[in-house]
Amino acid sequence: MLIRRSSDGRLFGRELLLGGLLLLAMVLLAAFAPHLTHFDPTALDLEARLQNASHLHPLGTDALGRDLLARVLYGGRISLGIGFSAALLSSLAGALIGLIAPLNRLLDTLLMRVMDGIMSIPMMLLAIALVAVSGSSVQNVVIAVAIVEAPRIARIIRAETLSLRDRPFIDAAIACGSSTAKIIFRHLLPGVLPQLLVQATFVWGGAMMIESGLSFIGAGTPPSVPSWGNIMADGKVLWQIKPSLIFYPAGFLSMSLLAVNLIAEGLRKLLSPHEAGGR
Amino acid sequence: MLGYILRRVGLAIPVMLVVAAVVFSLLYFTPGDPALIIAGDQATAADIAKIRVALGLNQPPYIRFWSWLARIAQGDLGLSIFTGQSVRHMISQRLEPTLSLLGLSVLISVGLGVPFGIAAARRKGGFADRFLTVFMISSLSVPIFVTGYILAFVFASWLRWLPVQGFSPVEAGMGAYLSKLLLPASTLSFLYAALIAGVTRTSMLAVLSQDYIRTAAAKGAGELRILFGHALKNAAIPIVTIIGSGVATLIGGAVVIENVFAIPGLGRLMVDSIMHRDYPVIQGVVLLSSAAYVVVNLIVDVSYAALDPRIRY
Repeated sequence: MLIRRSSDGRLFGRELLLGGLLLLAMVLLAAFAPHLTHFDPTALDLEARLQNASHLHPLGTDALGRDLLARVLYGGRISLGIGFSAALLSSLAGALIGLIAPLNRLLDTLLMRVMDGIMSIPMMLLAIALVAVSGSSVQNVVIAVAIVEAPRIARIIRAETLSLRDRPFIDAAIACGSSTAKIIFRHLLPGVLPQLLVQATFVWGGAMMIESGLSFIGAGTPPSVPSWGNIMADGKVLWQIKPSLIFYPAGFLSMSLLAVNLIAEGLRKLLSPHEAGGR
Repeated sequence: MLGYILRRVGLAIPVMLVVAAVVFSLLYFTPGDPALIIAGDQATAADIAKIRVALGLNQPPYIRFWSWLARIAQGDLGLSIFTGQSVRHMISQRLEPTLSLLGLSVLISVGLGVPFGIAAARRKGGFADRFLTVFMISSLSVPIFVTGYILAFVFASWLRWLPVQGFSPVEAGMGAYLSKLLLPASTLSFLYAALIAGVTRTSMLAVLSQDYIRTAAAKGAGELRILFGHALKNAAIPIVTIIGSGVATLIGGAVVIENVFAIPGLGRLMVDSIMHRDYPVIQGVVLLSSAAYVVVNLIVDVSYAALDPRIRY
């Protein structure tokens, strides 16, 4: 049902298929990291620094002798995990704000002004500032990214709620005597869920981008926790001599971003009729 | 027209207030006591108390916010904890590299993105269109600093056409200035141009399907005249919008790119301040960038009225 052929033979849902398979591959690689490599990603081996690919170290070693494959696989857990958690958190927060804002004119104006204000601060800068003041940890990065991405979701969910509110089924619910809470959570929430899912998937990609940027400049996960951005930060100094230190984690990160963006694009096409002139 | 402008400015003020509130409240989340940090290890309780009063830390939050706001409005952004210099001075020193980088990026992105989008819209499904789709997908999937390293590797390390990193001010010569800026600006433009080209393509497609375009063609107008004289003007509003809102992405990307290419700009200042926990500097840079972003969006809003005479609210 998700994958079907159109009248001109093109395959619909190919983004979902491709993206889904790619993401599955990435997640499996990260999840089975302990089985795929016996190295500890934080174990130093100063006698084996900057080695090229070999049987022992399939991707070589970094400047401190740590096995690159292990770092990339375990780093995938952190990067994918942070992206997912931030997307989840910002979706919850954004959906909540977007659903309750239209209840009251004043509340709406107040909430949306605050959202506008947060959106007026360039995302990267706000994330950096938030992590700087709260300290470098996986938890703080997730919260910072969630705060940065939530306003956009709130705006979109609010727009969806406003358009759903005028539909007859809401009138019917009110006429039946449903409480406001029931209308929001039983009727409106399922209505905005498709759009929320699409946006959450886009945020997953955006969150991974922001996290990698943060870790790269040293404002993300602490050095003891490998994430793809972190690994690239460590490889920054020596990149001209050994570019693989940057390009291997970059490759994994790009594959994951591609996968998530494809899924998001596929979901978007699935859940909203495409305007004329699109594909 | 003037009333429209004033009204847009008026709407921007509450937004800036919220930005100021967010930036100010950042300090509340910092672990530790600022007075303790400034006083140092050897201070007595009396010293710390004196510093608290001097910093105004003993007053309720809203008074502190108000006095902070008043100082900002007069241009006093405070003193850096790390260097002791005025934040304003530190920022002004690093303004030129960042503004040069951003300016060149905007020029390249708009100069390449808009024509590319138009070319893609002209022949739907054609070469430009497909290339644009690939371009957009790759710019969304490849982190900006990775693009930077790829470009630096190819053009600086391998081909040796351009310098690897650094910045040269305009006074030292246009040649060095431009050649050092070209790689970082191109990297930033990668993402920005893709955004602009995508929106241009969508907007032009919507306009080109209109009846008045068909009429112009039927009357014998040449393709260039139709595209630029009729279509582009009407398609301009979403394009100008994305140029404005893309500036935030540009500013964020500049922080990372300045790190990759060792450019001594505001991004570098931001990163250094994190390491030193230099909160006044962080606040100053965030405030300034947000203000710039709000002004850019304000200009975009005002341009709507200029582009479309029907807009008068």
